[in-house]
Amino acid sequence: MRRPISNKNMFPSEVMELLRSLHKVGFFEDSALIGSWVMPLYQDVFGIPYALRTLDIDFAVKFATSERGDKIDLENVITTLGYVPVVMLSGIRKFTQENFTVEFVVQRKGGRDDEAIGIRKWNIIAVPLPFVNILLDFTFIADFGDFQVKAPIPEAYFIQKMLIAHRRPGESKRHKDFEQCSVIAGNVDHVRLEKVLRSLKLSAKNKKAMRDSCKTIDFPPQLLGLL
Amino acid sequence: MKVVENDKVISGMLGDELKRCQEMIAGLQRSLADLPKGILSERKKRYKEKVYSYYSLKYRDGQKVVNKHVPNNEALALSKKLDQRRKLEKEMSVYKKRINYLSRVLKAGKA
Repeated sequence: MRRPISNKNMFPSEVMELLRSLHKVGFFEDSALIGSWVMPLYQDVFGIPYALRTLDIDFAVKFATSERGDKIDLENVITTLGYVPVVMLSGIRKFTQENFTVEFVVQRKGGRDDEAIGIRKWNIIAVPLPFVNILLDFTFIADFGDFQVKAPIPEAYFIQKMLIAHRRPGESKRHKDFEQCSVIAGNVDHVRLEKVLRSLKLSAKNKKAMRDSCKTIDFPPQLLGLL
Repeated sequence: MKVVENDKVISGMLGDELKRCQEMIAGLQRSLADLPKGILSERKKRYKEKVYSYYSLKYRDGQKVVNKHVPNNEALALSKKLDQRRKLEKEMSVYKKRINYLSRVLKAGKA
């Protein structure tokens, strides 16, 4: 699903430059922009209004098991733009420039407790998190004309937030998740929502988490196949 | 500061932002610990029509100022590391300013 962007200046120039550079090296072929920076895209493409953004720019990356294929030094791409790499205490590598932070997340493998996962294909160290695959499996392409950005469809973003919100250790992040969910909830496309839901095999624990999230934002659980 | 006081999401985001900045400072400090400090200087000497370059690293060690000779083949790598250190220190000062600002905003919101 490719959607043209009408407001080509929705992001600050530093962020536009970063996205353009990532597009140039083919990063968005199997990765996506996630986090609060997708909200301006949702406003432009799907008419979902939400103004708040954090200063960390997150990207979901597919974990490549194969060593074959082209390797691209993303660290080099990002540092060329003026960002500096910073190794955090957890071992993950972030990039920072004038308060902006670039961070990568990857699907957490079941039963593993790693704090950081190296992605050799891109020469990055990402944070493993649950349900990242939902964000990578259901995407759309935001077309800025001279470059494109891949992002999860709002329904995938919504489901992922509904699943993880209750796991958040911090209350403020949970509030933010629910606020974003509430905004998206009023604009979900039920066909796309159904498609995302059909792809999931949820455990009883995760179904309960979704039910609790539905209650919090006052969303009918039957629309998520929950009774 | 009423917005901060009244809106849970906004005050939460500011709190998270403060935490993010503090974590970045910790990461930057960790990255800086692995990098050399000081100024690399090059001295040129002419001897029998030939010009020879000598590099030295000048840095402070407590009260002392140390001048350490740097072999020519290590000068480029060292220069890159010093440059990296300067960039990290610049980032560090940006985050420190932001921490001061956010602390003030959050404190005012609670008052």
